[in-house]
Amino acid sequence: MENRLKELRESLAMTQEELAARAGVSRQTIISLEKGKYNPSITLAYKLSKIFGLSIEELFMLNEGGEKI
Amino acid sequence: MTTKQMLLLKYLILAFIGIIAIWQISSGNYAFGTGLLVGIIIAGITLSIKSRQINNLTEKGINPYDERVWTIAGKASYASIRVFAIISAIIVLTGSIWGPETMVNPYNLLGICLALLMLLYICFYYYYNWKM
Repeated sequence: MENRLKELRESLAMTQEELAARAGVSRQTIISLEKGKYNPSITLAYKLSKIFGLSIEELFMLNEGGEKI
Repeated sequence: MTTKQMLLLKYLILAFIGIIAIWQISSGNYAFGTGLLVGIIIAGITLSIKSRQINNLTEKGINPYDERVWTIAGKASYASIRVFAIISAIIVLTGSIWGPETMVNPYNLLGICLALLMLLYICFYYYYNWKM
């Protein structure tokens, strides 16, 4: 799963710690999300998309190559 | 049950096991009693450090038990049980065919199995934490 988290966070001049506090998760979770190492739950994806004022589809994109579920 | 009550309960359990350890030492079972006492001291220190870290994160408004931690814990549990089952199956299979018959204290065996399972879980937890 790809995402625009880093790009959007930087455009709002927000730190990883601030975003983590707003989403109610740890900074490590935000780091993992930005690196694409971790796929969020639907609840966290919804919270993050609300923070950036976007839809979940605009924030997270499924890879064409197929995901390992 | 609140977090503070849970912490108090954990300390009370440790204190109770500590009394058992002291009783064992005074009864002459030095090896078991000392091992238990050392384990309790380590567990107590770990619990204290962990609760302080949790408090710091909570004060900052960060959830210390976020979903990534649960995901890692789930993956680590699954992997450790799988590896433990495979190791056990190999030992049972090879031991039944070629191994000598041995007398084993069941409590020691259970303790070794528990320690192995915990060790596997810790290793897998650190592995998935590094990977994710």
